[in-house]
Amino acid sequence: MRIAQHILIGTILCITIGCRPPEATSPAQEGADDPVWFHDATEDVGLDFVHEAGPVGSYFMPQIMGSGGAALDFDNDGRLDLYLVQNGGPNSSARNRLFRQRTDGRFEDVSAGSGLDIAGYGMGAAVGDIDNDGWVDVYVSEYGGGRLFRNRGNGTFEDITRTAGVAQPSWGTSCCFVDYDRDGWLDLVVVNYVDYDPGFQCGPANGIKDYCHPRVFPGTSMRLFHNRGRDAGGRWRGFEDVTQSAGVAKPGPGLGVACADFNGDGWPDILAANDARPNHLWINRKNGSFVEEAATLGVAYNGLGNTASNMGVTLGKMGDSDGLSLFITHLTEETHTLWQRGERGFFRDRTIAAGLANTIWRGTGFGTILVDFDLDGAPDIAVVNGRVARSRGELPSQSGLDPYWLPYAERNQLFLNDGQGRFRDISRGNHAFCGSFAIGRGLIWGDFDGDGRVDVVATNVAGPARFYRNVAERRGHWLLVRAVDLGLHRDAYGAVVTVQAGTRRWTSFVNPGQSYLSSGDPRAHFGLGPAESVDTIRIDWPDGLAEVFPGTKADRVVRLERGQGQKVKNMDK
Amino acid sequence: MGIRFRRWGLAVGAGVALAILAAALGVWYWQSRPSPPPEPPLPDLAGADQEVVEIINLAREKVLRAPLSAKAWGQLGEVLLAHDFNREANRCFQQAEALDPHEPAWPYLQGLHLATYDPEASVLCLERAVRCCDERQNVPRLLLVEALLERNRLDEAQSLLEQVHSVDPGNLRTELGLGRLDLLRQNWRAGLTHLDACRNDVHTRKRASTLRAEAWNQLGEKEKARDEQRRAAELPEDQPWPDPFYEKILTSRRGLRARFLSVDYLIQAGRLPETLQLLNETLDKYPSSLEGWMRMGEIYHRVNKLDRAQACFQQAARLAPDFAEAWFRLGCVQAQTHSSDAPASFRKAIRWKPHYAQAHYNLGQCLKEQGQRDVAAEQFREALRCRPDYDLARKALRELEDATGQKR
Repeated sequence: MRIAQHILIGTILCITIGCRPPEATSPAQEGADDPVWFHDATEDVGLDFVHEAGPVGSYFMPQIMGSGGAALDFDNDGRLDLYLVQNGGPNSSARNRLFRQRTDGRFEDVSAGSGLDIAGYGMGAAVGDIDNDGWVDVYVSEYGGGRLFRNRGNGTFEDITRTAGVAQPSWGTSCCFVDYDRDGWLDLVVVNYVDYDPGFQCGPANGIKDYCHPRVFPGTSMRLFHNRGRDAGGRWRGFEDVTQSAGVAKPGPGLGVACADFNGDGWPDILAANDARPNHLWINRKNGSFVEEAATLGVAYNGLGNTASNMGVTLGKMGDSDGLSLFITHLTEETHTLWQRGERGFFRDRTIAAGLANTIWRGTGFGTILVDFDLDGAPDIAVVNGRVARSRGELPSQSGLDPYWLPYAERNQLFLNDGQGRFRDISRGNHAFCGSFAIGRGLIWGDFDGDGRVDVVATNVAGPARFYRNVAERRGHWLLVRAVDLGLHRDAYGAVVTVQAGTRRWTSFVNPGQSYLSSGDPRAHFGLGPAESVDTIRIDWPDGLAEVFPGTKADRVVRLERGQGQKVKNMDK
Repeated sequence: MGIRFRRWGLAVGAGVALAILAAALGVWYWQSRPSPPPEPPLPDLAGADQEVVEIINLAREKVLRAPLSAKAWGQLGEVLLAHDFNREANRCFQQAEALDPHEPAWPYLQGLHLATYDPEASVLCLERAVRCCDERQNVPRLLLVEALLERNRLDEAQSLLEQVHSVDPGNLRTELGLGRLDLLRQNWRAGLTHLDACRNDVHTRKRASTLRAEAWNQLGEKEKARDEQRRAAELPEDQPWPDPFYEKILTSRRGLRARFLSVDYLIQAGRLPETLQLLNETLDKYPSSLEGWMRMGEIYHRVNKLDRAQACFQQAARLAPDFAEAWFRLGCVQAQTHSSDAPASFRKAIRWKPHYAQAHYNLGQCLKEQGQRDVAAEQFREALRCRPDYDLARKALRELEDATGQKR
């Protein structure tokens, strides 16, 4: 009997276990080793913004390019507020919205009556104090121009587009403020896309309509508006369009922008990321004009010599001795590209070496930011993705997406820097930020809750904006530096902040104008790894002055004012 | 009794085990039996061109008639891929490959499609394709090389490049690959040598110059780097590599879009009579094709048959009265024939596209001819406001201001 039992049990075991093919790893196990960095706190913080893309079916190109927004402290209460842009058109009931952050961390809608609650084909936002009165002002780029709003300092804004001289007819996309001539007044850069004509119908070979490729239309030139400062009577004089005289009148089509010192001479240059065309890098000639040197410096094409579809832009420094890094997002069929400035001043495509060509999934990247999310001392990368033409691959099975938009939806990506300049794709383990399909466009960043970890807000075409609270396990200490020029009553946009702890050094920028259609935290953020304090903080102010400030304990926000540090000799580069 | 009982128990146990085994074998056979071929995929054809629908249905019927024919499945895949139904095409190629695992086209075309969004899976397909290729079929091999270089699998890429080089030493795609491989390994001088061979070919010259510039930069040769970069910036985009697998697919394209692609090809080849014939046939079949009338008008304009060009643009403007481009083109032809209608056409173009820089410029020129200098100057200014890089408008405005002694 016992033998019969053995035969029986053996046969059953063989059938049920032994003969079954090995199981594949379940999706739940994939990414189990990835650190979790974000929690979707959209509802917790009361953010109820849904992007309006306008009527569907006509394939009106501006709607697929999406809208972004800005993190800004418009009421000077020390907390970052939010401004989110709509794209439903001038007759839409959907209006741009301003959210004030309350003391409890929740956002309240203060749009009504603020003057910023406008309707239009809104694209991006730039934030900066244009008249040096201590209150940040807002520029909104739009299809068909853009609008400038002066902050009255009482929670309301005044549309000064016409009087300020920044009216322009083109399709504005990313925009930012930069003091390119070092006169103390923030100038405005607006990147323009294509000379779009809605009468053109586009689509693939099967005849089914889709959004047009940018090559169907001629690109348009970016605009540079010079801030004329105040007159002798103290009246602010607005801007003048110096696009032609500054030598930057060259057709794009531009989507992304970032201003920084790309050639190491201490003066701010302008990088315009062009869609399906070589990028433009406008090198500052220090006399109010620029010369285009993207090809010369190695950032016009990718490392394989191909012209890519360049969209979102972010900047940073990877390690102590590394040169400036530039990261630009691209189409699903391309790779997002990481360039790094080498010893001789030329940029080199490091995408493959950095492990960024070998990602778990791909996407058409737009908003992006290079920042140390887990405070381990090495900047990481976040990218929001979403297609611009219908996917020809397998469609996501996610429910809740409008069938019209489903073929454009993709998942976001997160890349962890291992500290040696190589990145690990941790998207699979970060379901909150990367798990859902959406048509991602803007990525706004900032430490909204003051815990030293950078949170992000993603905007999506025809979908809700999502607030992702950084809940990454702290792998080190942090420091946030607010660099202020009291003489100008504002943050020192363009300042380069370098902190030193023992033999290690980190560099960060006061540079809210990065990503795509977005403006972020104007403070310089540092993940310090194990360093519990920093020995010195050096600030290279935008006007060329360099100062060193005494060190401080980590894990705090420090406010440093120009003129209060010890002046250091800044070698003329 | 005890022994008999044990024997009986043994027999029952063995019998049950045999029965279970037989059942298991049955289940195994049931599960692993050759499954009948799946239903050929049918994409969502809503909004698709009728000619496209017809050719897809035709290819689909062939599969239904011969469901075990790899060729029929592959041809359906090709027709679907030709019309950008890639997802469904891929399923057909998978089925074709299952039925004929020795044909390289099926895994290759899967790899080509997957490369755009799942490169890892694409590499697997290309590897299967390469295994089926004979030593002269290098296109799949070289596409695989490019995928491997992107994945940093340099040794495997090198091995394939050497294979191709041994049978086809003059292949410039191989030279470009070897150059890229050297640069990835920071062998700058060796890379320069390989890339030098690619500097003058229409498929490689821009990329070769860009890569050479990087190599010179890394070697500290600034001037040489600048020269190469300048050269790269002036060159048009490299032409795509000839791909016999994909070119075969393009021949099965049908419908309006396919016709326009052929028109583009004929224009590029300078074959204008054939272009006009194709456009005439197209407009007979698709008389309300706005793009057809616009293209026909452009061809007539180009060969200076202005009356016919004007008629085409007028027809386009009738079909789409809010299409600025039609009015603009009509205005251009009218201006050339000194028709007094030209300004009105440009004004209509501006009405539908207020920031149409060229329309403002052309209107300015018309008004200048009519002696309306102030209004013409306004139009030139408007053109410049729309496009600050518009040198023609700047020159025209300057001339006008010089002539009138005005400066604004």
